[in-house]
Amino acid sequence: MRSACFVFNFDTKKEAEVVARSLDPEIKHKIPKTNVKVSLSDKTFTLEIQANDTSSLRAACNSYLRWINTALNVEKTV
Amino acid sequence: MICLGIEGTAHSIGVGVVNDDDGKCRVFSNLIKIYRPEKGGIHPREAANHHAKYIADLIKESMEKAKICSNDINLVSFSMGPGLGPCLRTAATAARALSLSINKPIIGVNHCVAHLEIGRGTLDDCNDPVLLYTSGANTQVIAFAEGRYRVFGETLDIGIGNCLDKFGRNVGLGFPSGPKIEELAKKGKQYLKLPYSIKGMDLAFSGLLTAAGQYYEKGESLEDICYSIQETTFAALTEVTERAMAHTEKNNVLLGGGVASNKRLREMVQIMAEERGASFFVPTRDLCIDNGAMIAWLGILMYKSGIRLKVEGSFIDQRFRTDMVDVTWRD
Repeated sequence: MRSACFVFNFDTKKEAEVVARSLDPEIKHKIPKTNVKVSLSDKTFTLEIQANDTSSLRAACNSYLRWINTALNVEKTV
Repeated sequence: MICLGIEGTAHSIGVGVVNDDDGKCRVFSNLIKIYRPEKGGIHPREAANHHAKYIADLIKESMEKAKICSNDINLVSFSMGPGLGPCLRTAATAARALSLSINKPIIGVNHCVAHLEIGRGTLDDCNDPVLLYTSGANTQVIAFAEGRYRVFGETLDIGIGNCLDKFGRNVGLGFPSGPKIEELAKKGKQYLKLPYSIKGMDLAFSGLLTAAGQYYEKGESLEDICYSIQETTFAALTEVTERAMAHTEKNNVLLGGGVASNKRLREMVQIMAEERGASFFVPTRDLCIDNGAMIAWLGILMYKSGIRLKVEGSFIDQRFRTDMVDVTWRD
C-alpha cells in the first residue's frame, strides 16, 4: 500500500471551506484503486490518499491537486 | 435571471453568461478555449489539465465581457455529462467553487439537451424541433416526446466528428480535420463507393472510416475520398433525421454540434426540410460548438421549473443519457 498526505494552510477559513466543499463530491466519487480521506480544521485542509500501487497513487494525487488548484483559483478570481 | 454556465465535457472549456429575457435567451458573453493536442487524439488527463489552467481566467473574462460582477450572477450551471470524466470533474469543481464563493445556487445540466435548448432559446420560431446533433463524440437525432427528449436515432460506434477527425489524422490533416475535409471535398470530382450504414434508425461510421482509409492507401485522390465521405455520411444523417421528423410529425429541424458548421451538411438538411415544407434552423457557430452559454441557458430553464441541486450532491455522470433528463420545463 502506498500513501501520500498533503496539508494545505490557506489564507482564510473561507478559502479552506470553499476548497473542501468543492472537492466533496469528487472525494465521494472515488478514483479506482484509491482511498481518500480529508479533514478541515479552521484554515487547514488535509488530504490523505492511499493506493494499491505507485502509479495509482500518482494519478490520484495529480487529479486531486488539479481540482484543489482549480477551486482555489476560482475562489480567488471572484 | 442571469446565469453563468461552465462547459467542460471534452476538449473545450467554455464560460457563458446569459439572461432570461422574457422566455428567450440573451447571450451576454460566450468564451471558449479549445485544447488542441500536438499529435493524436484527445487525452482526457491533458484536456482536464488544460481546463484547470484556463477556467478561472475564463470566468473573469466572461464576466467582464458581459459587463457584470459576481454579485449579478443568480445561478451557476455546469455540464454534468455525458463526457470525459477528468474534464467533467474539473469543470464541476470550478462551478462548485464559484457557487460557494458567491453564495449562489448551482445546477447541473445534460450537455446534449443543452445543444437543443440553445436553439429553441435563441432562434425565433424554433419551438419544437427535431435536433440533428453532430459532434465529435455524439451523433444523435433528438426530439421531445411524452415528457422527455427521446433519442430517435444515434451512432452505434463513433460520432461523425470523430469519424472525420480520425480519417483526417490518418492522412495527415491534423486536428480538427472537419474544416479541411470540407475544403478538400469541394474539389472532389468522382464519388467512391463507401458503406452506407443505417441500422433501423441508428447509424454506424467505423466501416466507412476503414474503407476510406483503404482508398487512401490505394492512392485514390484525397479530394475524391473527402467528397465521398461527406456525401455518404451526411446523406445517412439526413435520412435518419427525415424519418424522425416524419415519425414525430414535427416541422422544425435544428442542427447542433461542431459538424453543424459544415456547409454541405447544412445544405443537405435544408433541402430535405424544404421538400417536406419544414423550417430549417441552425444557431450561430459559437452556439453550435460546445459552449458555456447553452449550459447557462438550460440551467435557467431547469431552475425556473423548480429543479434544485445541492453542492454536496453535484456529481458528474459520464454516461448521462439524453433521455434520462426529466424535462420539467416543457409541457
